[in-house]
Amino acid sequence: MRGLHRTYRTTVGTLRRRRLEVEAVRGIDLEIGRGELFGLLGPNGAGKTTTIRMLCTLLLPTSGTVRVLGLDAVTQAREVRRRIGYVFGGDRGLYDRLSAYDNLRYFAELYALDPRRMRARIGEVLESVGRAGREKERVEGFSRGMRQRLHLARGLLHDPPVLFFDEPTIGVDPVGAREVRQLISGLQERGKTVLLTTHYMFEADSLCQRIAVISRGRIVASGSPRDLKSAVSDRTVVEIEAYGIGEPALARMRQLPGVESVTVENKDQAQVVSVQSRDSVQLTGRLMELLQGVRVERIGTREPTLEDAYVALVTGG
Amino acid sequence: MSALAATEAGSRGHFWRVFLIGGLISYRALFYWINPWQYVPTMLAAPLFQILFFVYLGRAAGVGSTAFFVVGNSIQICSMSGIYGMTMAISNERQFQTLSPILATPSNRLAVFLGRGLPVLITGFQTTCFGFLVSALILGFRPAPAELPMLLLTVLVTAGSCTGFGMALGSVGLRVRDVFLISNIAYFAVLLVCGVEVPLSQLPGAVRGLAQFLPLTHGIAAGRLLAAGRGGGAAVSDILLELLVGCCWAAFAYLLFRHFERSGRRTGAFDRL
Repeated sequence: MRGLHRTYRTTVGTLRRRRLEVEAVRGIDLEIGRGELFGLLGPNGAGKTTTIRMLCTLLLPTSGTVRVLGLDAVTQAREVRRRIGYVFGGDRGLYDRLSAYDNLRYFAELYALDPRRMRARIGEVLESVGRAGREKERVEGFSRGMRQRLHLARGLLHDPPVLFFDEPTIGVDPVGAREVRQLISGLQERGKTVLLTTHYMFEADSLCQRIAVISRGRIVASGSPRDLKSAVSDRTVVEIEAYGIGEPALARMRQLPGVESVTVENKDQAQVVSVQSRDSVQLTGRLMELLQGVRVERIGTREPTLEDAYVALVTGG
Repeated sequence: MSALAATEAGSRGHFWRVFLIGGLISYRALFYWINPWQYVPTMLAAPLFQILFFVYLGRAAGVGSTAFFVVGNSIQICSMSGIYGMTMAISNERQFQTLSPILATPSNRLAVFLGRGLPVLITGFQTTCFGFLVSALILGFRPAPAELPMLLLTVLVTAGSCTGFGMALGSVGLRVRDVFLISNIAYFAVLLVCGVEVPLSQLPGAVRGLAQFLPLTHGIAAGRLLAAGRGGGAAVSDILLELLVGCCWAAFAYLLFRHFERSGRRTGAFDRL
């Protein structure tokens, strides 16, 4: 990808319609090597799916070039489509009234698979995603995880050399997600080139050789997971598990000297607050002062993770 | 290229497989009324009551013959499959969000598109044949046996032209969210405009002109000539006109589909429901 831009035009308002332009991707330069497993990380609306859809020939760039295996995704779209598999997350995108087998059979026809090998190949991909034995069941009765595996099977059906995974483990239970990750890892071992978008840092950390972090349509950092972590290696993270921390207290935390970022994650009834700072010794005491009257279950310091690096990059902290 | 693709995605063999097998699979996937619990009331019972209603209305009002209403309504009911079936078969891809995975394949778009029409055409043909059969049993409708082959050909051609018209509506559904509202209007509009219940000669000139470009008009005219025993020769021109209208609608529908595919890539419209 070179100088890739994508702008969407839309209108707002009913009587007075106003035209809006939304820049989803603002100049991405990225090269992914053959056989590489590359991760694209970013918050919602950062431009990950838009980028993948341009690579899959489903969307034209407003400007810039997209090449897959040396083929232009705009002018040689059909050639590119023969060589790629596209797997997206979520429970839509399948024919509910058909069985898993028929869903795959339809796409096997569209990908012009050898009719003599079609049945065996469908069996192989269903086996590889752990759905063998349930291929005659209608998809409408499938759980989200089962549907996701069927998406995967469809992407692998024609054994493409390049695969695009757009949040493939979203909504999948932990055991299922681990199996999906093993499958993706196995693809890379078989020499496939994989581009993966995900929200889960540990997933990118464990799978990807290189990662790019995308924020507001731009790549803000790229490199190996270790490279990205090293960007925040001079920091420590104070993690607090507490109940009932209000927004005013969080705002005061952000204003404390040395604090780079404050993020909150809800875990059941509790809040887990991560405070990144270059000075954790004095910070812990100051935080405890701020949290007087709040029920604190746990407070401690830890080394920054890839997630902390990601937070620092996308929040500019 | 993929190691498993034995046939070139643009080859003739691939075209026919996608047209026939792919078309049948997508019909099973997207045609709501395929289930007997929906097929019988929607595709058989409701059309049957439509035929009976208009025949008895005509008899009570003392206008038109039984054959006039039987032929008009029996042929018109094939548009139920053509209009609604094709709207479902194309525009529901958007609802199921299966359009992107299909468009990401190298498949022949013409085969994908036309393949959906064949099962719908056959369904429409069956519906009209059922209408004629029941009319023969209940209403005493008796066309001359010598006219039956041409009458069946007329039904086949008319079911095809309705399918072509439905393809255009389905293509519109790729862009317009509530396309079934348009399909509803289209279904009832053809009932009035195409001479199903009212002879074309009694309709205003502009409506008569419009009817020439719509499916059913020429098929129904041919059907009435055949039912009256006027012979196949008299009906040939109307059958050919019906065929031409159907082909034009199908070609227009395919161009519309390709236009929306291209503009969808440009605007990102397929990402939005």
